[in-house]
Amino acid sequence: MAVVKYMDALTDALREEMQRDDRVFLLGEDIRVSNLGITAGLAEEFGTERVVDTPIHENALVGVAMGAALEGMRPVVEIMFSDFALLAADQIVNQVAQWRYMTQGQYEVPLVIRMPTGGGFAYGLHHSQSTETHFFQTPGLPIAMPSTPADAKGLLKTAIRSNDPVLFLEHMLLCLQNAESDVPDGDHLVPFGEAAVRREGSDVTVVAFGAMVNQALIAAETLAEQGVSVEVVDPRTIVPLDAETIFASVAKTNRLVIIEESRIRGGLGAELAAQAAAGDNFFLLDAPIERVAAPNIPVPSTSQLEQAYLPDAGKLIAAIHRTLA
Amino acid sequence: MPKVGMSTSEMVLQEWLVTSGDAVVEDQVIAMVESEKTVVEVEAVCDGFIDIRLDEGGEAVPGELIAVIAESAEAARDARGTAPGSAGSAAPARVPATVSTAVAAEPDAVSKERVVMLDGSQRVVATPAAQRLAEQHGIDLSDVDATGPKGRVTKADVEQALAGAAAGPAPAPDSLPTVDEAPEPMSRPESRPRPERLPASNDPGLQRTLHREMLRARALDEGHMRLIRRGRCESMSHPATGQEAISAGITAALEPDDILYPTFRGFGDYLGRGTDMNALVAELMGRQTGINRGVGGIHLGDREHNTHGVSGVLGANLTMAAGSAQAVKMRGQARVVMVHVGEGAFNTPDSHATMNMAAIWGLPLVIIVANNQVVEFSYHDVHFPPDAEGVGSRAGYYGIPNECVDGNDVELVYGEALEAVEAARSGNGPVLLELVTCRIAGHFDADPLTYIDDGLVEEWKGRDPISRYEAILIQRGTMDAGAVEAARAAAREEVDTAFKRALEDELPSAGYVFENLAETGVL
Repeated sequence: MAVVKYMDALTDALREEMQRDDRVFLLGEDIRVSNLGITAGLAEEFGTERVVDTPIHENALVGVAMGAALEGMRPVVEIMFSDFALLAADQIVNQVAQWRYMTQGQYEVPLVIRMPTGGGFAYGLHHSQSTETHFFQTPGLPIAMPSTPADAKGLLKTAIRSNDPVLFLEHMLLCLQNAESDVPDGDHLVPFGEAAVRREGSDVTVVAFGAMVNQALIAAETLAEQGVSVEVVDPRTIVPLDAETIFASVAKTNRLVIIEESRIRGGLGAELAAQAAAGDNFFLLDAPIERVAAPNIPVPSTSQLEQAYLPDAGKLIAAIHRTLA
Repeated sequence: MPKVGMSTSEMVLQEWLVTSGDAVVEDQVIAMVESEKTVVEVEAVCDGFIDIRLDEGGEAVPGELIAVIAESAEAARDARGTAPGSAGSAAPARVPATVSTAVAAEPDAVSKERVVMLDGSQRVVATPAAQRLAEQHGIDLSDVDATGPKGRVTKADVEQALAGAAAGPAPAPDSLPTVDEAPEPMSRPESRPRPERLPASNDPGLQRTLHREMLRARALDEGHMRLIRRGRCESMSHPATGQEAISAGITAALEPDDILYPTFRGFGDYLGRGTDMNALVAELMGRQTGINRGVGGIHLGDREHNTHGVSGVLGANLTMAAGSAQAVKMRGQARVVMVHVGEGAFNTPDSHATMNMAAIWGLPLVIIVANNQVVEFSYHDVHFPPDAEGVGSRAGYYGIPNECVDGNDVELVYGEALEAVEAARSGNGPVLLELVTCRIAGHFDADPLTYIDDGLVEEWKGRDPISRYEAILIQRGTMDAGAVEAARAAAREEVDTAFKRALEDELPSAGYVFENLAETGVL
């Protein structure tokens, strides 16, 4: 076990998988220099044939990766900001995610689309969004959102070894705040569709993923001082979603709060609220569900406004209090 | 009433060409009907005697009954069918203009009040819960007694059926992505010898192949459209009528291990690569025996023949082709990737990204642009500046060699394509070939092609690539008139047989929508 920074864990995963499998290669815009530094140095190590800088055209570079994947390569594409993934929506949603189904399994599409995501830097409307919700409804597209260095490494390695495409969102705040924690040594893999219980508790279940996990843990710590016991469940991949672990937790606490950085309309919170209201889950609840998310407005540029826009521990604490009222 | 395009509005029965009691034969044109856009012919779907149920001037919506054909005039007259226009018609939504002899037979005393299609098939109506339960336990819903409203099979009905039957297979667990456990080493360059090739004009065998592939492509488009007009086929046809020399010529220039991203227009690209006619037709007919099990429809992929499939988003294949070429180059293989698009798809921005990256990276890519002078529902002048000469010359900016030749001369197409393929194979980077032709049919099966000059269509009909080539083959002595006719008949026969087989094949059960998902990467 070693203490590793979130961003270094990502780089380690890429390096290890490139060493393990010569079909793995990287492509993206300026990934040799690397905007955040995640891919810096890999061109020197593996050569520019396997660390390919591309012209600026997201739909085209995902299309190129798709064509290479159809020929048995295992490309890892970087979209510089997750906002730009919308430029590649045709390839991601219509082609990459559907080709295997369309051809009834004749083709696999072992392709990873990595993208730094999220706000907190006052980067404004087009470099700050959490765009996972736009892709959440796409069949055939697993979505991973690691919240810790260990998951950053383990989920990315699993994604690269997956025979299906994966949308992989790395939170910029976790990258640039140099968050660090223990990462298991060796070939560390984290399976998809298995939630992690980040903190055990008995009064309320908080579902959080990506950068919101830290906010949930801060809230849980604060509330513990007030005698409220919060369980924090991190689904790690929102597709496939480990509803079993989440609702096992709700069965214990009978209260559910979901926090997500994406906008509130139609996000994971909406999905989990719907699942909680349906079938047997309906009978688990003792209090109304609370959702904490960004409002349905664009991301304002000034940090004063952006902080008001973003969900955080304070807003979560207020929501938890409402479920306990 | 046949389906005309996407219209579901009323159509007028303009003229009957037969009268009640007449004997009709399969494919005979029996009536003319008029929609807002066009007049179409209605063909008999089988041999028999006809009984007309809708008078001239009458209106009906697609799917509504207009006549019955049965094995005798009496049977046709007595056959159960609902008069057109009656409210709440029991006539099923998808019957074609006429019904087959199967209609004549009264459905058996239907205790379950099933919806019975007039072609004899049954549609079972069941609640979602009942369908899911039946699927989980492998129960055929048509074996279940229905007690729900309007003959609907409920979950309770399926449970009742299960009570008497052995327990079915357990439901599949939630799917997870499949994982590559151990990497295979990347395949290394192959030194497969390439066959020596003669010019087409010196190769009678190749000449017959080019001729045959053009005929098969046209026969398939014609057969497909015939079934669509009869209401027997749901998939759309985007015919390549008049453009068949391109698919025949370019596919003949490829080696089996080369990769093709085909055009959506016509199916000559697939046939030329070796895709099985029966599997292709079954897919168009939505059958489980289809190459993509009735799921892909006209968005076909055929991995076995390195024909990687066509997206319904035209132009999306361009960058994929560049990516496959990149993979080929990284692996050091001596393969070429070809992508075939029309000038409309080539007008999408991804064409520039594709040419740009292919040129920067020196990819073994051949871009075929079939310039057929029409883009969907409009003539060229809507899409291209008036003084533009062709579209392929855009490749010049990227330093990509490009040629523009007559796309209706099949030997010329083959020769130019072969030159392009060999140039790309030799490591000199991408090549573009623009082939000028004219689409003398609509964008899709029911498009009457009203947006281009009749004169242009007539002019290009005179340059039909098939009859033009046949004249050359006869003149050269490669084939005589009898052999030409025999080749035409063989192509039609092959297509007809494929459609007949497909009609006999099972449609997927509704339950299949929930099957084979983990195996196809759906989460």
